[in-house]
Amino acid sequence: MKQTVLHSQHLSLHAKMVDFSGYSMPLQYQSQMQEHLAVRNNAGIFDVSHMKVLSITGNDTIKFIRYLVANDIAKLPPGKAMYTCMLNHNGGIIDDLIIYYFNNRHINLIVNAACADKDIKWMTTTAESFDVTINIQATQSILAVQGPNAISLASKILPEEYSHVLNTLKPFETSLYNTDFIARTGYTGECGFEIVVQPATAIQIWEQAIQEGITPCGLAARDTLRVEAGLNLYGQDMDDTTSPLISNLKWTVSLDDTDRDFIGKQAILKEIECGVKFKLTGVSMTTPGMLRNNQQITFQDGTTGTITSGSFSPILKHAVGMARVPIKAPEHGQVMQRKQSTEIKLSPLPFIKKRKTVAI
Amino acid sequence: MANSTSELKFTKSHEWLAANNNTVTVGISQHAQGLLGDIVFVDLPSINDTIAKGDEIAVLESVKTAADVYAPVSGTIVEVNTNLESQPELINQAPEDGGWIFRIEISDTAELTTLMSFDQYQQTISEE
Repeated sequence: MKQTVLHSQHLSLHAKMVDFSGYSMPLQYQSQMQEHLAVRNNAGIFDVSHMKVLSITGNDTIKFIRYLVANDIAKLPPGKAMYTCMLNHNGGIIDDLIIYYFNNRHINLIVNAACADKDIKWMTTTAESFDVTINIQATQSILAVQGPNAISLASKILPEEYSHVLNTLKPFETSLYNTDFIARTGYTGECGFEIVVQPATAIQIWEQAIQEGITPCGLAARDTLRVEAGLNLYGQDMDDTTSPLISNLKWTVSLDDTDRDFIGKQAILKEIECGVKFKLTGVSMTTPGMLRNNQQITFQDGTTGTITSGSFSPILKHAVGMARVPIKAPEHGQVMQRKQSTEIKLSPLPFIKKRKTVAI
Repeated sequence: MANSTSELKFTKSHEWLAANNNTVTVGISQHAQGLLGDIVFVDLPSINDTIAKGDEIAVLESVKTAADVYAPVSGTIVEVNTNLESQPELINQAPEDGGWIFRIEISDTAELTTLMSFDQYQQTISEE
């Protein structure tokens, strides 16, 4: 199993380590519920160095990205980060990723650990007809600091040049320093930032963060946080057989520029023309119990849906999840809970309201 | 009520038992709570239920999984830890103490001899 540079820090904090896509990663330190609430109430820090950082450089950088992914980088000025899906020719999602647009000859991407090899192979093949170079940034660490106090605590934990820029970065903006970069992005629904730095800097930031009372958070809390925030998990809520249109990600597909061709465009247009049949939506169960992945939902009209991510909201204190259901599914349905039929309710995502920075 | 771990008896399915004359208190071990992760719901048995050794009588749901709690001995349920309804995390925080789950009035004291000591239980989990 591979290790991140913060491996010994995780062990010294008594993290329970698990194998995640071939990396030894912290699942939780003390209690995933406490970690989750710390992110909602103060700030938490995550080591997400298992994810892969790629750089795209060259004359055709913009042209290549505009063809490669379903969202359109040309909508944005440099200095912006953009969330998008990368589709196959059937409109299915190969991976979801964030693009960091530095300038028209340099873009970075962060992709899911589980999909990295697949993504790189796909991108490399596609890049053959473009004047671009794809580089894998093998040595970098990725940290996420998230929570209402994340931005105000940044000046205490980051080296001066980064904390200085963080005061002016707006949500979904990014800034590059040599090979390091920082962005106002995250996977929790809170304010915060993600920073990609060399290992020595990562260790420094991590240790300073712990000293400042920022809670170390593992993958378990990361998962309950992202479900509350209505954010998809690739491989669970969507995969290469599902299009963004049935994954609550229609907003990430840009069809505005009719002259732009991108991989999967024809399939997407066809799906819209034939009528989108499903939707990915939120599901809640307010009676005691948990919702679980792959549980079936039955509706009164005889149709069924499937829970893609079953989870629990420490904020709402009941089971929540995401489900793929027929597009016209009624609001109420039933799931089986230990041989008893129990009511669930569908609702648009997210489960919690958009979060703001706490005023200092 | 503090239970000293050395006085507890254990089962292969990770329950502990503290005997007090004819009544025993049952919970799950420190090791088991660690395997389950944060517990979010506890489905408790009903008072006066008659149970046999090995019956599934409670269910613990964590974010990760659901696990059954088995009766280590036969008898009647005389008390359940109602604190667990609002504070299921007691099982994680104090599994062998405040996180106790139910109490049984035992019907066959001979069954107590089939249980393991702490050292024997430690041995079985180190072999897992």
